[in-house]
Amino acid sequence: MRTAVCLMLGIVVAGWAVGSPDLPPATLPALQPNKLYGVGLPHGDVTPATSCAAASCHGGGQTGRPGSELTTWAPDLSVGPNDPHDPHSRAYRVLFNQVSVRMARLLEPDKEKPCPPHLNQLCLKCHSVDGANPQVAAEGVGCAACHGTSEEWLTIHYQPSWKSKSNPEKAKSKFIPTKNLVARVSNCATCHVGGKDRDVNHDLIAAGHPRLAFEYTRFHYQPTYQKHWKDPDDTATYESRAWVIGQVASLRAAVEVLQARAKNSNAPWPEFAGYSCYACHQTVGNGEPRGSGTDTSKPLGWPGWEVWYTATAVPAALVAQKIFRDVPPPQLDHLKDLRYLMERRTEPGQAVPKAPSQTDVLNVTEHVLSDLDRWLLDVQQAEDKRSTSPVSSELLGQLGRDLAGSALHDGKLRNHDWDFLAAHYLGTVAMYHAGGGTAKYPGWQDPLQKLGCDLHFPRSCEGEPRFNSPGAFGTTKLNKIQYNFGRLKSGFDTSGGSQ
Amino acid sequence: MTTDQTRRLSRLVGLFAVAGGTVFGLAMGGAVPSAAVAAQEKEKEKDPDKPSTLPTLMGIGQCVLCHSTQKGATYPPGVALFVKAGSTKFIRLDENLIWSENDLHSRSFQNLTGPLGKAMEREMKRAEPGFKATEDVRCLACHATATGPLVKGQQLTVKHFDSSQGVTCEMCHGHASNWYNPHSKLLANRIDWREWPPGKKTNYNLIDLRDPKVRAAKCAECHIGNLDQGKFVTHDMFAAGHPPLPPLDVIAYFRDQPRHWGFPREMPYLVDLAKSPKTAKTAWDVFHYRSEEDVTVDGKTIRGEVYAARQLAISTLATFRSSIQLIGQVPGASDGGLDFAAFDCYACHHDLVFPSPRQKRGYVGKPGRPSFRPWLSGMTRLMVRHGIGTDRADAKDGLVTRLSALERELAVAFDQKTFGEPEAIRKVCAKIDVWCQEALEVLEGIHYDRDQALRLLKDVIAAGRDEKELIADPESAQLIAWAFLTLREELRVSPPKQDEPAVITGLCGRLDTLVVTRLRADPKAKKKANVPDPLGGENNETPVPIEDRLGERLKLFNRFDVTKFRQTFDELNTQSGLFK
Repeated sequence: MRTAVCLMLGIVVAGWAVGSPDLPPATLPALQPNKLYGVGLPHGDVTPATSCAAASCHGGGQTGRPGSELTTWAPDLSVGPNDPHDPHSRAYRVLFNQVSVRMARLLEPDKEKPCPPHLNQLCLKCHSVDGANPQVAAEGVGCAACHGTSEEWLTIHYQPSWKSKSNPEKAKSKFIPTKNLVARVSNCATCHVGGKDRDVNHDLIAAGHPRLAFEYTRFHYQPTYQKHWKDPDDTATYESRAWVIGQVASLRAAVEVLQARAKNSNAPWPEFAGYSCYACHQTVGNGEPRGSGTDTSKPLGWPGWEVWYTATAVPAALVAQKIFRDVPPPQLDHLKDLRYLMERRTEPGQAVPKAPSQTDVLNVTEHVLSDLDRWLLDVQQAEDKRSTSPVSSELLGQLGRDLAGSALHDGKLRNHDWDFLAAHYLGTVAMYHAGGGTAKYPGWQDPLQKLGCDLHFPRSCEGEPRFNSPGAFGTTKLNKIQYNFGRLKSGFDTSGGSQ
Repeated sequence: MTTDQTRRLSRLVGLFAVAGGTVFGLAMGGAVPSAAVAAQEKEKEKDPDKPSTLPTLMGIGQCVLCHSTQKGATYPPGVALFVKAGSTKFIRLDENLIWSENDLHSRSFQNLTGPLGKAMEREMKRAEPGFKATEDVRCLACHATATGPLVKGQQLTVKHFDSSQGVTCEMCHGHASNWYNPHSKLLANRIDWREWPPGKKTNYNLIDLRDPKVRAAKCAECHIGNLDQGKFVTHDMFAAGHPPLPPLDVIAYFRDQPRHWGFPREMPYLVDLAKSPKTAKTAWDVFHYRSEEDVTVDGKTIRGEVYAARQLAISTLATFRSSIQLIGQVPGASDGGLDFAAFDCYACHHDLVFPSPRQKRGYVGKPGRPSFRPWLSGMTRLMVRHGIGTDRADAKDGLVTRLSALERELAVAFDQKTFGEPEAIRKVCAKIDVWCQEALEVLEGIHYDRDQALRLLKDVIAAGRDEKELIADPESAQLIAWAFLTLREELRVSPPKQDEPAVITGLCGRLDTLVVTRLRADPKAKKKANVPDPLGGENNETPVPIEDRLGERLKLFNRFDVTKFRQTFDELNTQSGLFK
């Protein structure tokens, strides 16, 4: 499902890429974006994906080729369910599987006939195009989910004048210019992280919904993900931009979800889904304190707030500064306050801790959203102008080393939380690939592979349930992870190592 | 009865006695304080013997004068007098030796400075830079000896504790300043003191540890928690490394405890007292003990009682009550609701897998909302269901239904908010407390003869194999296994004694590989202590440090397999005809 949104976005981008040269329009319009293209769009008239499927438009029948975006997105059922396709096209169908049906039953245990997921508006917001009629909803996450509802642009988007329109102009017609990475990723995040009316809370997760853990570059570069678009070939600039925009846009969405939770006085507060899953979901240890590390700001006995999205906020701001040199980096002071509010529960000597104040949290989320939006809007504009300067491979190498180093403090792991370590790993990997990969940095391959291995959930024997959490994530693994982050940080070790 | 059986039995009895003592002490400790002196004065009007001073700590130094005498050694002159008068038919006189050599309570303070204690202190310092385990009242409340009963509202400081020797005699038996003299110095009247009614001794703050409900409540003060006394292991402490508190089955704890007491059946004084038609009532009224052999009174035969069956049933209820009282206390400490430590640990602390057995099984209440520990009420329901199946069933058949309704109410109170709805939790806990009192009265009226004990055993086996029982976590399974082992062992040693069929022994051996069945004994550490157990107990090895015990135990705990557990009980059920 997560991948589905990305795929849809991809479809749009690809469609657009087909017809437009990679050159900026001759004259830039005066219109400047004052909102994020991909967030908070009003409902529109959802056209079925099949209306895009004319052979001369996006249904060319040649998977993977320009002009065949819809063909690439949809599975060829005559071949069978394993025909490569975009998982977004399956989003609606999963609502009928065993897990989904059981979820409905578990969530409404007192009702004889609980609302089936395919009729539940909360599910349909992300498992189809939000606002679509039931017939169109059955197509899953179709074109309009990522490209915007087309009532205002359907008849003009294939005309020559469309190409000369600026992104702000296109966005006015509810078209989402997904080539703009800010537009794309912030739209992905509305489902893959959530938003004010889209909350995969802990009730849903306990009933069977997978946890949401969005990281754009990880989704984008999934080898099995069949894209229906092509991105610019400038790997270095592209991947590093995608990572840092992904970090900020995802964090923004997580804060928006928190804001909605803080406004709700009827739901459980604080909401468990906003906290690090595996801080709690681990077996009780044998006295060895886990989930701590050298970061003394983390409270005892309380999981970190949105660790997946906040872990690399500080290094990401530094990366942002280096890559988008003309844009002031995102301000993180209010985010720090927010984390403090959400995590610091026990006052010294207090017998029983207190929940964070919903009012205080609400106030701070407004500031955080404003800080992050400011940066995202600036970058959205820079992306429109394509004014990003090239990034050298050496700089990316340095940024990768800095990211690996930020997992450590005084040579020791700053935090033992799996989310924290995995987020740093993925960031480092993004910089490694952006900087030229093994060809440029041969010494990185080994520590990165070992980190990936140690962060991997345990593999189960055949017939056994598969692990959905880090399992025995104790001292042995943590020591190896610490060692390999250390090697990456030093940046000089090309020997391959022994751990 | 084999030596082995005798040993186990004697261990059991000893445990009961200790627990009883502990509970009584606690109850007393709790009773004396807040309403304090005024109430005491009022009492005094009724009981002219009642001491008017608040009890304080005498210290272990006073106890060792008599209770540190090796059997067969030359008794000091004062002690010799007691021995000559037959004291060893009632007590052992080597109590302090056993306690100091073998009993984990004597190591409780040392644990604060051991490797685990130090690691925990390091973690706690992250939140509280000045934290020092050996001086923090939250640690001392259970790891040291208080200088007087701990009472609600008291501002505890390090001065309220004597840390030199861990949890010493008076933490369980009651602070002794008032009862020390009557119990030891009135030599001429010592039998008189011994047979004083428990209520009268309680006035002197001697805890009636022979009463299973008093004893269980006493143990529960530390082993479950009691916020009024400043005893509560918070989630922060667990996160810093405090070992998990296992579910409390006082009787199972006793089985593995090195005994510094005798089971009633090992003490000739008690056996004779209970056997004689003339004194049987005294044995019951004062020592809560019924003869284990049939007794004929006025031509009527009274069937012998299976000692552990009664102890198990009453202790289960009393432990449940203490747990509920604690849950009711926790939200009172803050409007924020419950500390995570009041929730079911394993609702969160498990590895996630797909497909998920929890989702397959379903949830009580809403998914994703942790609730109270499921083991709490499971065994309680079983004991009451068994109890109302006896001839005392008459007016009380609504008890089980009411418990289920109260449980649902409590689950909703837990569910409503992330940390529970404080006011609702307090209210339901108060209601459950009333229910406990009623249920205890019912169980106390039951005569646990062999037939009843056998029925109870079979009920426990049925619970172990029941698909509908939510054995969500190894804790519930542990309690079922412990109760089964207690009854099985007891039925082997109480009359008519019989040898156990090999198939049962084999299945019990399999249980050892599925859940933690021995709380104390570590088969790898058979270091015999210097003090042989004159009553033949085998669990007198030197205590193994917590750091060495914990790892293995949690490994077994974490790999709990409910399917294999149920299979084992299924087979036990098939063989249950062998228990006679």
